[in-house]
Amino acid sequence: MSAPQHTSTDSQAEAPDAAAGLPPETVRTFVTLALLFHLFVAIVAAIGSSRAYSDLVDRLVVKLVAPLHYPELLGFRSYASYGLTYNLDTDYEGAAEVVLDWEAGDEAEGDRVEAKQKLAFFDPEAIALPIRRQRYLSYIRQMGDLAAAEPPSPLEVEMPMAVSRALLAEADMPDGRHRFRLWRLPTNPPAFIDDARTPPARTIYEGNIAVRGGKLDFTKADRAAASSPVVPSRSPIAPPADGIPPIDDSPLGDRAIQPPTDGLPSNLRPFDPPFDNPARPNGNR
Amino acid sequence: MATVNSAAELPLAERLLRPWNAFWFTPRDASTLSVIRIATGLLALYWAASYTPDLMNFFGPEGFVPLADLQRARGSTFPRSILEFCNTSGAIWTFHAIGLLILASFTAGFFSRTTGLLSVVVVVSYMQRAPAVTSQAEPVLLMLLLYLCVGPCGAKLSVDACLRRKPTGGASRAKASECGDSRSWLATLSTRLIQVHLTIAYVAMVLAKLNDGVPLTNEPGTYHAWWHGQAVWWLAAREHSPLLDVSPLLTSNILLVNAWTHAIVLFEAGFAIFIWRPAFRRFLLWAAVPMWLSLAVITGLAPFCLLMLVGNLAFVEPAAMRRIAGRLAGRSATSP
Repeated sequence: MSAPQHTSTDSQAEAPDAAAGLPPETVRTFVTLALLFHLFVAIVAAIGSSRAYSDLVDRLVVKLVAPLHYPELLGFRSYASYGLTYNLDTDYEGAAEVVLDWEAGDEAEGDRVEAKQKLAFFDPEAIALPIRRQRYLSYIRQMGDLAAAEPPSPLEVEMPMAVSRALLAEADMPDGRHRFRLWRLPTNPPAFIDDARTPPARTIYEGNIAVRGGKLDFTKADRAAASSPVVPSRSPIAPPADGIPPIDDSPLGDRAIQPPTDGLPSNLRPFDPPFDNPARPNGNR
Repeated sequence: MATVNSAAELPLAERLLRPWNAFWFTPRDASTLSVIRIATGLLALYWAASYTPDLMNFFGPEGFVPLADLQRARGSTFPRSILEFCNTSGAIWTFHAIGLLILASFTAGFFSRTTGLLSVVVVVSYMQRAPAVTSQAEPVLLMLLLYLCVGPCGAKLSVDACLRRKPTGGASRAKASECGDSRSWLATLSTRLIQVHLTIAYVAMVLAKLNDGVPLTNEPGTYHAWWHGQAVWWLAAREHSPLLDVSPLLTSNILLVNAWTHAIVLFEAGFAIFIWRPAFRRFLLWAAVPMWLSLAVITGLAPFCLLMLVGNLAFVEPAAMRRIAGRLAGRSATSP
């Protein structure tokens, strides 16, 4: 009695595979299914992070990718940042500082504010390693994104407050009223652009800090919302032609940010050194 | 008794699966994986070690990233990082030291699969504890570490390989099972995963560059850096980010800026498509070197750019990698 043909077919099909070093069919099947699922998730996560407006992709991200958690844990959904730059507001570098002993009259800024003591979030000149600089710049960019979010994010206070607390703690928490300021530093345009004027640096978020007996209280300052144009994160930095601020010395209403000819306020050029704390020569605590 | 003599006589499903099986499961040598392991490990070590001066700033209980705020932003208190359990400076420094040791062991190829998985845990811990300070590098690093664990990345150029060559002992047999045979289908699976995921990343990068979320109109004030060919300027002219200031070269040279910008986009798009064709592979792999190195200079994102180059090594055939390694070692490569 001869063996059933399908049995000999199966075993003879398996034999060349095994001889070629392939894993058994069961293993291949299992791995294939896992591969198809994993690669599908990876593709949806990548596309879903790149500003796709398809309802289907959005739903797949919400229903399939998000509940798995591992794509987010492993950064599969981070590809939106691979645009590197769009010359938008959120792409610019920034700076953050705490101005000590802020007084009500300092709203008008001017020389008096420049003379005040400032605690800088970080000194890029003092940090030699580029990867470390990038971390601080990323943190500032994230703070700026939250500050510029429309509608306002309930978390916009948390990062500035944490930075303020950390900086003031290094300065032994001096009692009094202080001011947190977050700046956007626009990039100089190239010479080949017709209207090659750098918009001035501007504060995009300010907070009032009150310290008493080691306790810190932080509230968002209205001045930043009212006087500095908080550009939504998806808008380009260059305002319409009739809104470009002058680069002469004329004051800008009650904002009193005097844009110098090189486009940056004088208290940020050169970059102010951090508060002179021997325990923190390079940004470490 | 009938036998199968040709592929045409196989069931349809098997005929369709043959290319798939050949692509994913045909055994290959682990030379390429081993080189990728070393390069990835070195970059991971550098990335983690660079946290040392800022450890308390970013991970400390009184630092810039309070845990309560992080959990509130995340919308969950479920821990995603071992550092969330480190409430004191001593615990944080201990984790940091152990993390560096794990990454160093993985680089050296000591218990490669185990230290590889632990390396993933270490990198995820840093990344998830302070996501605000992460960059484009971390997802690529994690992808490489994860997929390296799948294959026998410690089969060659490793402590595991040296221990396996020891003449006697059950311990050497244990090491052999740890790193596996150097020619295996797992090496192929690991390599293909890196290749495919890297291609997905390239496609996502191109989409991200060309889709900035702002309507493509000619209204004043709208600006699309990659479409208009000026993105390179807006990267190179930043004050603190670039490794070198090349803006004086670019400021009056619109054609160079345009060409450089368009070249980046075209390269990334072309890589994703043509890397799978052997005729274009060598050119693309060589073209990637100046592309990513120049991008590192103008963006300052050196780890990210170098990791992309490391990922590109997955497209180098093991035989070619052995020849290169042999030349570097000053001897001719031997076959496995």
